[in-house]
Amino acid sequence: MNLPANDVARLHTESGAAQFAVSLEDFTAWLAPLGALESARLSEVVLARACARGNPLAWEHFINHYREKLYAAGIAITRDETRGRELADSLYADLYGTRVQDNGSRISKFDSFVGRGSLEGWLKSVLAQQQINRFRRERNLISFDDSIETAAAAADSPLPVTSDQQALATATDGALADLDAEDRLVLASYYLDQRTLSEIGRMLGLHESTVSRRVEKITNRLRKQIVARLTKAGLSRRAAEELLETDVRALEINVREKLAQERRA
Amino acid sequence: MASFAKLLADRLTQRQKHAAATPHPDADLLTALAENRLAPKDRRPILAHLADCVDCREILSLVTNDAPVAIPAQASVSWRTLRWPLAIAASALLTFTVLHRQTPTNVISIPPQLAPQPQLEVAPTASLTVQPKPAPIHVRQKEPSFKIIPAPAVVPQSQAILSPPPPELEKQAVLSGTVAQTDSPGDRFLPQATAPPPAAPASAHSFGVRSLGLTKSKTASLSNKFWSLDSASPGTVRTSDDGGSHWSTVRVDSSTELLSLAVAGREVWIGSEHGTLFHSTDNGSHWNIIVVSDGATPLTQPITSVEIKPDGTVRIKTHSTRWITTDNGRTWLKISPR
Repeated sequence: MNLPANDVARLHTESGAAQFAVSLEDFTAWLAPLGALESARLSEVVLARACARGNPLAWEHFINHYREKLYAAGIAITRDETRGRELADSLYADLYGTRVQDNGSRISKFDSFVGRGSLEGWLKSVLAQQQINRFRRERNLISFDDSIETAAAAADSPLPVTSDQQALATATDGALADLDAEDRLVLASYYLDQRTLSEIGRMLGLHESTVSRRVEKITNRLRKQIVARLTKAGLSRRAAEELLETDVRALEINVREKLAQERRA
Repeated sequence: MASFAKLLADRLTQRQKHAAATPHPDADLLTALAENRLAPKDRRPILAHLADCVDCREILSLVTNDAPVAIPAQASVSWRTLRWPLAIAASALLTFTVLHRQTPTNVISIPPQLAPQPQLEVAPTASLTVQPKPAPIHVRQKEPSFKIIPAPAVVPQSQAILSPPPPELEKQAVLSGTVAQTDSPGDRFLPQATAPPPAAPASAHSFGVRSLGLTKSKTASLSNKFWSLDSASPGTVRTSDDGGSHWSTVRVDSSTELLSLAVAGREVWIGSEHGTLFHSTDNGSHWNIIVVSDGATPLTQPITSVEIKPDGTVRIKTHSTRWITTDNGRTWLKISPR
């Protein structure tokens, strides 16, 4: 963001940089890599950078304004009060920065905030990332049993793949690859992650009825495209449709067989 | 459609496994996406990454779906919700009626010689108790035409008519050309009921789960039964039957920490940290221990989420696996292992 000196001086005052003892030179240097920002975002960037530098006033301001929000976000993410508070508290070390660079300055998590979104939203995202990282770590710790379980399950059901089924898989993969990224995200969220329509709606900023219509539309289009691809691969239209239906029936049988095996075991 | 869904889930899983690894978007970008602040050209590559990255989808979902677990439904109409609006409305009605009666206005009335005596009156004191007069219903014959005349001062200024005659009597009067009066008792207002009920536990509404079943009546209204995990005391949950005013503790199993909870009607499912599932079909009076197993190895991972679908299907999640049962936990199918 290259601005005339007068504007920089004005922003320096308006953003609270002066309040946190940020020099005009440092402020100008911070502005340079930033894109156009709303004034509210700029104030948040200044607060974050001042916290990263360890300014006590900035930290006081941050604690006063964001502590409870952090707890609320942590509790909402973990769905547990104790864990949520613990997750939120664990973030402060990263925000303050425990690692030290060669030049002696700390590496603060705040440095990565550049104000594309709100500071509150950024804190939520960082908390969510922390939570997922915990899951990853726990998954790694317990993955031995889990991997045995998964491998055993895979070994138990070596599904025979016919050339037709292979053709169907290839056609489906091709149709999925042709989809718009957002459509694929909707499908993955709905069919793979089993998220509700309203959850997907909130993820993408859409109403759940819009998501519902979109899921239906994408699914219908995919069916048509799969049949078209199978036809292009040499099957008649009727054979392609039958293959899709046959495979569907086979999948149902597989599920039933698997349940029956589990009951027997 | 369900099987086509399985085909899609299978191919999407394969695609996810073999997708070219692209760097995860940082928190700043995810926030901007969640807040709809990204330009389309910046948005597209992130959506493409999200479509193939389950962890980033999870993060985005956590960020955008961070509402408290249970929010009391707007459809619920409880006394707690209505106590102040009702009190204000009653006061406003009383004030309006008193003022209205103080000022002579043109009303549709009957000649003075046939004017009815007011039966439902409010005492001039501050008491809100309606005092019905124990007189029988009088129905008098009268010529069918009414005249518009000033209302006779039949009521002291400090008194007011609160309740009109019952509709059936009005109807009868219209049909037969008579004027009806009634001494039928009006509503009784209970001032003590407007006192605020005791405060709910601080975390009750934030972490409780409202039962959506018809536990109290067969009406369409939501039940006031609340369930809440009790993080302070392992192996217990808290319940409230009065919309969160009072809470009682239900001990489920003190040997394990309870992590997740789902309620539908009288049916309650609770997931524990050791993979054991607790199921009650009678609102928590009795509990069955459900061992989740795919037939070979029982689940021992923490159950982080339990969900009851409208069709009765129950889905549970651990950190790395998801399970589904359609027969109340007798058999389980492990789906989409990560």
